Amino acid sequence: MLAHLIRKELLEQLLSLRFAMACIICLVITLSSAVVLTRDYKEALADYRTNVVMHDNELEESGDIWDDGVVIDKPLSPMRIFVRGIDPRLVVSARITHEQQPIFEAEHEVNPVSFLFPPVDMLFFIGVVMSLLALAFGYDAVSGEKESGTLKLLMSYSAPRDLVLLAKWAGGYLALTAPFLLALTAALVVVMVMPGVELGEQDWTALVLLVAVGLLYLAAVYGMGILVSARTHLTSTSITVLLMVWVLMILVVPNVAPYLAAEAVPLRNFVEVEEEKAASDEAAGEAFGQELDEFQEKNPEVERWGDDGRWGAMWNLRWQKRVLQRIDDEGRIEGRYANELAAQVSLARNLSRLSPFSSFAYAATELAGAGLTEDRRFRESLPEYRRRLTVYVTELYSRAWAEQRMGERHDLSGRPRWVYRPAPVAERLAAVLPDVMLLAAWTVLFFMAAYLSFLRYDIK
Amino acid sequence: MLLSLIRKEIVLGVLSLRFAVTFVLFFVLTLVSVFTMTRGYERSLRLHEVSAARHHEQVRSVLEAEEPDEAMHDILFGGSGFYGDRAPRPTSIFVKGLEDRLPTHVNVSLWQVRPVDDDRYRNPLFRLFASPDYAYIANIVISLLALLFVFDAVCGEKERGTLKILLANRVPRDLVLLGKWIGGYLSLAAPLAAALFAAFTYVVLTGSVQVDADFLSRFLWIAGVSLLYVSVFFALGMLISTLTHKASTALLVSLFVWICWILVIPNLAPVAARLAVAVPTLQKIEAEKAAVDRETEIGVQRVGRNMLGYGREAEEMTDEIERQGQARKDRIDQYYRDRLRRQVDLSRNLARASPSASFVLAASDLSGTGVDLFTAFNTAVRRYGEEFSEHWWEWDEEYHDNNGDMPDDGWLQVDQWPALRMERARLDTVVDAVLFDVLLLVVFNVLFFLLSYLFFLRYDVT
Repeated sequence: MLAHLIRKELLEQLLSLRFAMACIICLVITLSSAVVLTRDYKEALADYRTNVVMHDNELEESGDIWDDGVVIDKPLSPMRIFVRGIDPRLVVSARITHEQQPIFEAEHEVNPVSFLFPPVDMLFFIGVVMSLLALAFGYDAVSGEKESGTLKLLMSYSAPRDLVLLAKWAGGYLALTAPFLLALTAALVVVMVMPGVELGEQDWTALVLLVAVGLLYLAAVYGMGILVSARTHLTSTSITVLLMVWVLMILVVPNVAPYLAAEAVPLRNFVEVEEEKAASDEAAGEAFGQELDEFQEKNPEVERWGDDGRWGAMWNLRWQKRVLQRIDDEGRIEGRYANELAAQVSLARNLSRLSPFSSFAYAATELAGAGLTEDRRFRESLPEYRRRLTVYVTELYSRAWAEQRMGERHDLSGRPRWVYRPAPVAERLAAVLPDVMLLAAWTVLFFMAAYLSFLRYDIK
Repeated sequence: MLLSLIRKEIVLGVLSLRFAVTFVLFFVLTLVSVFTMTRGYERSLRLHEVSAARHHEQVRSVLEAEEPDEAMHDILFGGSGFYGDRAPRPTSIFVKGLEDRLPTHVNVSLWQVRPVDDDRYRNPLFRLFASPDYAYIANIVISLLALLFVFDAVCGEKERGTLKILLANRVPRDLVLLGKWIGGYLSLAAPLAAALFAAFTYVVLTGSVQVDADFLSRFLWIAGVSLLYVSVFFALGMLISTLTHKASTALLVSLFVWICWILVIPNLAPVAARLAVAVPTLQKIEAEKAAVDRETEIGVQRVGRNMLGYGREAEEMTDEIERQGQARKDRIDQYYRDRLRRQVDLSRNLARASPSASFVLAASDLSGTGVDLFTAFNTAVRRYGEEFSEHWWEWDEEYHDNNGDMPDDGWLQVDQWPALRMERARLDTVVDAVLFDVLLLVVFNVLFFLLSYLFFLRYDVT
């Protein structure tokens, strides 16, 4: 019985205009964006590779690791073809010097039009376009059949209502996801055929999980369509209501949430944080000066910056302590601010989770390694590297002073390298579990509500 | 005749469920948007004021120090340098545009001028979801509602059978269509205008911006362009309605067209432009400039070795080599800027295949938060750096010539200290620039209306 009903639903959907349209939309959008975004990624990858070599060469040529520091380049993940995430830039470099905080290359001298029109990645495609299609597939499931009079006929057979609704849900959902999965496969083939893109095992796992979460999200939205359809008696009413809900859910709730959170959890002015850092550093600088004076008093035979290199060797080791202390202080002061900010971010996330789209957006960006966690992980890896660089640079200079060869070129081959590994998929999956559960809850909730409404639906 | 047709359309429109929905949505969304954006603007303004005041105080403390020279050296050599602040623009309440993409302050010292990376102090979710400003609401939501309002204007009447009856009277088809257009558009535009008026009143009442003639005219222009933009979708919906014979088909086609035209085409444009006009990365440009510097240095050293670096001839040769090096570096910079400008122009033009892009570009330009904001910022940063180093050397020279004393008390004032000054294009210049986009919207309007007229003339009403 159920198989029959599903087959009927499926056939009806497959023969409809919207199925044809869904096929065209899915294929056109995924293929065009796959071609464009893959080529964009490849260009970025080439830039990244050039940058790595260039930055290495620059340092080798200048040999001035004290002032210039090391420029690090964030490795590029092919998952960024599918989800751009919170930082739209693909190529990110930062200059790490032991004295200063990391300096990021500014993004204000690039093409600003791309900020006005964000790219059509999978997050946008599934989150916005496919969800609208899901509503177009579901809005007349019940009310449409009532309008055309077939519901009465159907119910005159001995088909129980729960089976009818389940079949409607399953049939429509299959018809909705078929063109989506087809187009996605085609897009993947395009991505794989273009040389230069290598998806690793982790990437494939992440991609499969991403599609699975996307399917869950579509199930929730489709369920909402069925629910509204089972609560209304005219298709025109149900589509009006659904589009209104869609607008609020996809286009308004997630966007307003960060503003509301900023209102509810106000942050300190970050100028204060900068000043606090400067003040703490000034105090540390005075202490450092005193320490040097004390040393001078105790060891009057050591000439300041004398040619024998004793002062230079001593100074560098003490300077190391001072800079490490500076890094710790900055970390502490910024950490306090980061905690306040984290409270705001977490409130914004929870507020926005009122909309399934936000849950999907968080899950998708996290799975693709382009979300908040990854951003934090990257930023937190920098002070750690700066510490290693500080130790290396000061010891290098201290040795050079002690051995009286400050005029010579430094051999920088032993310099610490910045190695960055994105979080493994298992870790990312753990981070998105709450959002996945939430999406599952929405799906079940909408279906149950639709079932309840349909049980008491007036089919005449 | 036309009047009664219009009245019929208005009455029909006003009594429908979607009018109620549209009215409520317009009001709620516009007010929510203007509320959140005003509060957001107030927050950034407070941030700006506090930081500008502190930076002003820093300059004052240096100039009024007992040993200004020493204080200056402390800041320039050992300390953090000086800061220039960028104020948020009040029109960003309605069109946020690129405002958030630019740093809020710029650090300057003797060797470099560097925008400060303040991303780590901001909630990253602001970047994940677009700002819910009026431009966004109009661009996405109101265009969709406009289509929803009109998709069954003709085919719906056919389905209900009222079109047959209407045309059985002696009413010419052109008047029917015109009546539908005017009546329908009025019942859509009226709530929109009302919501906009409410939003503006809210902004005035909160007093968070100084409402002057410039602000008012920019707002009126933005409102006007958005009404024009909405009418494009109204005409498009009408065209779809005259092309189809069933309301459900018309609805699906409308959604299909809306998705492709609003969501996809403008968003593919920048990436496509990036692929068509490749711009070298800034880092490559910097590397090339560094290479030129090294060559210059080698040339200067060679002069030094060959001629022992003495005499006028050697000096002239050194100057010449340095001048040539600078000219080559300027050419590299110029090349980068030219390529970038070409890429920006191409992405704008490609995106203009969709009226949504025309609207976004026009609205952001009118509010002064569009592409020009980036240009203005970059110019301001360069100039700030130049002015600062010029000013500092001049000051240093005067100070030392005068044996560590200020020449006279009024010689240097805090107000004369170089500042980050962003130029804002005058409204009439901006209007000239956005006329092209406005014209495009008008063309789309006329085209869709004429096409729907053409198809309605041959529409099978039975």
